[in-house]
Amino acid sequence: MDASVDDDATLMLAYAQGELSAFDTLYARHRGTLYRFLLRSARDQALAEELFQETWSRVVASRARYTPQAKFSTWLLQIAHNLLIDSYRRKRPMADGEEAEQALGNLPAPGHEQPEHVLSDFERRRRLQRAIESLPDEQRTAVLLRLENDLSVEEIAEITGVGRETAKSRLRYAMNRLREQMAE
Amino acid sequence: MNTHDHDDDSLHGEDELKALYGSLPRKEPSPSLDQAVHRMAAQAVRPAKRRARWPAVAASVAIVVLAGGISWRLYGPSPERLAPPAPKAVTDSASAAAPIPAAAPPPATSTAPMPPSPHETLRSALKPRVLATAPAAASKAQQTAPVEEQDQVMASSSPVPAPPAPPAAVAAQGYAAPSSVLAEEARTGDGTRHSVAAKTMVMHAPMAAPPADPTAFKPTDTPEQELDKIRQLFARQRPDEALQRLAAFRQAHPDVVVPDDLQDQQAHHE
Repeated sequence: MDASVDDDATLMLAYAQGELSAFDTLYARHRGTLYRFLLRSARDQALAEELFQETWSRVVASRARYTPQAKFSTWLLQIAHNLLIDSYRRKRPMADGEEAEQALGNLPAPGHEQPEHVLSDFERRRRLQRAIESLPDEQRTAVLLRLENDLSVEEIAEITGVGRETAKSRLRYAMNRLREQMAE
Repeated sequence: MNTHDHDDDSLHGEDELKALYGSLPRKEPSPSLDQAVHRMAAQAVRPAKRRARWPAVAASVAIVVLAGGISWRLYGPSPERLAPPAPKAVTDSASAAAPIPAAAPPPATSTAPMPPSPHETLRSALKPRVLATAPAAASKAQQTAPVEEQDQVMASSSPVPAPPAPPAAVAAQGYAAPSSVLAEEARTGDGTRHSVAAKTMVMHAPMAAPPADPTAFKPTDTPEQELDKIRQLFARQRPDEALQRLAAFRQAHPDVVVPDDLQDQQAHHE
């Protein structure tokens, strides 16, 4: 654990003792990355806000039994990921990793209209957003954990509850897909 | 980190994507969302302080009740006025000869059940009110000798909860004591006492242990053990119970990832 991880754990333990200012500091540190991860994963602002609030609610509820065994940010994202999975399950049946990856290979490639067109920055950003949104849930989660939270494959595997190879595979497919769509 | 070397090889073009991703609008939670979370966090630590006041409130109530009891004993009706219409000489000699019932051991050879003395009746009537807020152990330690004898009867019958007294028998008592169960215990009639005690035991005793069930929830189980039990519940065709346990598990252990097979079972049965 590095100094900031220790600090996060210390803040959480202080909050468990009733120190509200410790929670405020912890919240200020992680609110942005957690919110963007949920927003871009859920693709629905209302749902993202609901999950965001629920994630922090679970942090608050579990303060008494919290033990700093993992990075706080990993633990936080695990909670958020559990909630996302639940929301996906409620919306539609989830494809497993293999199915999702096969489906990815069969996805029609949009954006063939102007191949010679040099994309403006705005268009490139918009295209990236759309490309991320079009990824299967598991791949989108993996790539967001990488791009937004700058996590390692191991951390992504830990948060998403899969093996390292599965996490790496999802990440690789997602990255390839994003690059393909950006190049079109 | 070692893995980053491998990742960099396999994730060609990641730097460019990261740079582009970094240029996306960095959306933040709205102030109202921030406030909602802050409020929630504040409320969670506030009840602890409120809860800490309960012992003081309970102690205050107990003191008031105790003071009332003492006042009643000191300034209330005298025992003589409440005594049954027996010959005065007999009453006086009995009360003079007998020490305080609480300190007196039960007579070794009791010829016939004696009616309770007025003194004892008052003590018995007062005690449950005070003990209503005290732990059961404390009340047991303060029992008078006759009550100890009755407790032995209770203990001997404890493995099999006694059936509740017939409602008619309880209703037929018609006494003017307080209506609470504990006050009802103060009565010294044997049948009533035992039936009320049995009812009280049924109310306070833990539920009878169900037959040994390997999937039964144990608070001391590790998360892995609990997940395995949930898995067994699915295997035993008890999906409702399994779903309930899984929901409770995820609530209790939000940081523990539910295995794929259980997630599949959950999706299949929902």
